[in-house]
Amino acid sequence: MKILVVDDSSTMRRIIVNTLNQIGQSDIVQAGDGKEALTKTDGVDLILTDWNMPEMDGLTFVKTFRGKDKKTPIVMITTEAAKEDIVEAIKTGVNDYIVKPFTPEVIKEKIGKLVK
Amino acid sequence: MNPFMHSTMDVMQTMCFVEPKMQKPFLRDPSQPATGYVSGIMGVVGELTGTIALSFEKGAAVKLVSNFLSMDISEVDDDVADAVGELTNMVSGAAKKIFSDQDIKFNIAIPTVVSGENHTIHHVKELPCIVLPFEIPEGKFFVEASFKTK
Repeated sequence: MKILVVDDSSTMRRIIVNTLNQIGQSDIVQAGDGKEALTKTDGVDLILTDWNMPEMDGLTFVKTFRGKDKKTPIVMITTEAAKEDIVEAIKTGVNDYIVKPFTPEVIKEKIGKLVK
Repeated sequence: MNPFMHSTMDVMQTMCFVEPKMQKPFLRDPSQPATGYVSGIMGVVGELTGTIALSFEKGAAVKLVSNFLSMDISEVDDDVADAVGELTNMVSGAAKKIFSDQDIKFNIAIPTVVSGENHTIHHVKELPCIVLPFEIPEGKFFVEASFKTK
């Protein structure tokens, strides 16, 4: 399974990639913002994306990507935790939502379900 | 300031595996140098407008980021700067959620990070800067909030 991790923080990408490695996922590509992510979606089976990023934010990335792909699961991993934010993300095409701060167990549980 | 106290404790416990001790809040003159060695700063716009900053002494930054990344770090480098930005983002975002639950809505920007002895954190002029100090055995860090209501 090929997974795309999108976050402007190299720290967060490292933490997410380490957690994915722990659940046996090693085919991972990374992007630092939505614009770069759009160039790396070919053959991707799952996308994990932050919301607040420079150049192109996560919500715009999801909207743009959903214009051409309605099926690939997308999980938003973000500090944006207000109810209206979550509703907006789901309406845009996000399949699941993880709020920062999170424990590795939350990522393992949510992603584990999607990669089965 | 309670949302910032709760969000800071939540982020530090969940992501950095520490239980910082909170000390007595104080007002700081923002024209003076920052209290820490490396600081993350974030703008806030909405029903609250201003800035939120997290400022870390060297020892606290190295320890917290070592725990955050699960790797040994010995100095304030680019990894620490990036992690400080992300911790600032998380504390601000968690506080935003608490405010939102009280029907106080605002948006947060992308954090910027500055470091070095005697650097200055530029808050909005003429607004008070309230500082929540926290301590872990390796050093102190400070959560600064400077904003006005709409």
